[in-house]
Amino acid sequence: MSQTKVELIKSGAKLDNCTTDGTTNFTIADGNLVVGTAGHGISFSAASNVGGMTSELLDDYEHGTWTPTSNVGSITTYSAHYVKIGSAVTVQAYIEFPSMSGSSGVNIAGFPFSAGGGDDRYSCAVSSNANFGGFHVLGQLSDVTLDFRGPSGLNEFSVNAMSGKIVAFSIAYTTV
Amino acid sequence: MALSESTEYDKIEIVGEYNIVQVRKKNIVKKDGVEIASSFERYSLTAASFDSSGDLVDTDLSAQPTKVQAICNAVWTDDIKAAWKAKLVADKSS
Repeated sequence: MSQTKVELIKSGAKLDNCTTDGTTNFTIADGNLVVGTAGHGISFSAASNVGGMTSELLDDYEHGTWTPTSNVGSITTYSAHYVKIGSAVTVQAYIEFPSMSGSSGVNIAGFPFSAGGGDDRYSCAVSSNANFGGFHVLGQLSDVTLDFRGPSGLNEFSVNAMSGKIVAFSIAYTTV
Repeated sequence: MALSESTEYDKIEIVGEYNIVQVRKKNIVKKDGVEIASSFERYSLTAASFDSSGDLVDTDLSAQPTKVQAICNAVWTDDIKAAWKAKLVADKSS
């Protein structure tokens, strides 16, 4: 397919790494397409919608690491990553709790983006090196805090139960 | 050739009705003063949380950079703190 060069001029100098075939495709041979103002991005408004659609603008991408914290105090983080695509966030963490005792609940906080509160809740299975009697630990995320809960979904896992345990989880959610 | 590393708190965002503060650190590697690599590290802060004894405590900001402390102190009003704590208590039993 032949490519037609698009002439872009900057300070009198022609940039020659952008091309188009004249009808469909636009190519930047070497470099990035930079969105200069937050809130803008790529609009998919030409596509059909389903009921409940609130936006067709892809306006963000980011990935990096995050810093999990806990109400139990210092924890060891082996890895903690996130990816954000638009309003969709995927977070991963692999952490270890210290030896500890107590009967209150355990949580992980410091999530990189808030999931919102109220009815905006998300859950995930949390795997562990612990023997929990054959059931999974449930993680329930609200705002920026993941509570560890038992099989009923109501009772938080206690400090005693999580003492010295290594846990891993991955959770997908959307931002407020 | 001179390599240098630095950290910038390049985004501090306030989100939601409880003024949760989202912080982004940008870790930068420069070669002769020109950025050649960077990575992001994020965390978030809330006005209060349950401690390991199950008591509600205000968030300790003493380890935070001055800029983050100032923003948290400005947006975490008494009303926000009270509303956030009430929400945590309600969540605990739901």
